[in-house]
Amino acid sequence: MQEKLVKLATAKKPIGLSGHEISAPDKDGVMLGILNEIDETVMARLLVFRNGAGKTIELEVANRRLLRVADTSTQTMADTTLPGQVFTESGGPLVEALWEAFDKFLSAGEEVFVQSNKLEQAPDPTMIGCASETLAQIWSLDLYPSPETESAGLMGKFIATCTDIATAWVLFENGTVEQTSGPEDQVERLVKIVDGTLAEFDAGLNKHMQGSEATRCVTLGPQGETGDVVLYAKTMTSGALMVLPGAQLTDVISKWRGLQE
Amino acid sequence: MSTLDQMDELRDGFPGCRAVALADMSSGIVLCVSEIEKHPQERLDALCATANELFNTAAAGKVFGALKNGENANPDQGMTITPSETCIFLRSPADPMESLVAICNTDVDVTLFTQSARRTFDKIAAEE
Repeated sequence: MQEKLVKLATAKKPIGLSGHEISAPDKDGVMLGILNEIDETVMARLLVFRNGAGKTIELEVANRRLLRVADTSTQTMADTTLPGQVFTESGGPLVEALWEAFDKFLSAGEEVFVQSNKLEQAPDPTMIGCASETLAQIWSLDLYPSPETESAGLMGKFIATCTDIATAWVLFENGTVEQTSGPEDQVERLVKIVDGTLAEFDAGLNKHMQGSEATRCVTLGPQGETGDVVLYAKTMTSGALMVLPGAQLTDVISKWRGLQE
Repeated sequence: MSTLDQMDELRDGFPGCRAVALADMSSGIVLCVSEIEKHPQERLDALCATANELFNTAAAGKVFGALKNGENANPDQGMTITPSETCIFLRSPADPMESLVAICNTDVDVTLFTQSARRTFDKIAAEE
C-alpha cells in the first residue's frame, strides 16, 4: 500500500486525468505538440492543456482550427483578456497574446498533459477559427517539416546529446560541413574525410548492409580495450562524424537509438 | 576447449547475443558459427563482407585515420548499429584476415561484450 501511495504521489500525470503527455526537449517542441493536437482535432472538442504546476489553458477546437480560448488559469494577463475571444482566419493580435500565454504557461517546465473533452454546447457555426498551420506560421514553427528538415533536426539533437562526450565532431548536410567542434587538427581530418572518402565508404557499406542506406550508424576502433573510436552516423542527407572515447560507446549508441524511436 | 565451445561460452555469457561467427575475410567464408537460431547463409556471408569492408578497404582506413593514431593504419574493431540489432566486428590478433562477428540485440552492453569477445578471440588465436 505504501509503495502504491509513493507511486501515486510521484506520478507525472495528474491523478484523475485521462489524456496524454506532450513531451519534447524544448519549448518549441512542446508548442509544436500543442499545435499538432489542434491539427488532429476534426470534431468540435475542448482541449485542456495542463502544465506541471497545475495551470491550464482550455481551447475550443473544431475542423483542425482554434475557434476560441475557453478559459485560462495561467495567472497572467491572459486570464482576463483571452477567455471568450474568438479567433479569425488570419489570427490577428489574439495569436500573439496566446503565444505569450503559452510562453509563460511553459516556463514551469516542458511537461504538458492534454485532455480532449466534449464541448458543453456545439460551437457557433459562424466561427471560422484560425487554422493550426496559420498559428504555426505566425509563431515561426514548422508544423509539417520536410523529411530533410526532420533528419537535419534529428542529427542536430544527436550531436547536442554527445557534445560532452565527443572530443571532436563535424555535422554535415548533403556532404557539406555545416558545424564543427574540437581541436583544430582533429576537425581538419574529419572535414577532409567528409569532403573526400566518406561517400566511397558509404557506397561500400551499401553493398552489404541492404536496408540501412538511409539511416546508419557505424563505428571504427583500434585493437585493445582503451582509446578513441570514430563514429559515423547519418539519416537521409544529414550526417555526423565524431571522435569519442571507446568507453562511452554504449552510452552514445543508446542516445542514437533513443532518437530513432 | 574447442573454438566452437569458446564461442558458445561467449554467447552464453550475454543473453543479448544471438550469434557469434568466425569469418575468413580473404575468402569471404564463415568458418564456424555459434547461434541460438539458425541465420541464413546469405546473412552470414553479408556480415563477413561487411567485416572486410570495415577492416580492409582503403576508404575505411581513411575514415579510421580521423584518429591521431589511426593514420596509416586499419581499424581492428567495428560496429554497425541498426534499429533492430548491433553487430560487433573484431579482427583476429593472430591473423589479420580473420574476424569474429557477433549479432546482438539492441540492449547488449557493447563495451562489456567487446571486452569479453576480445579475450575469447585472444584465447582462440593462441590455440590456433
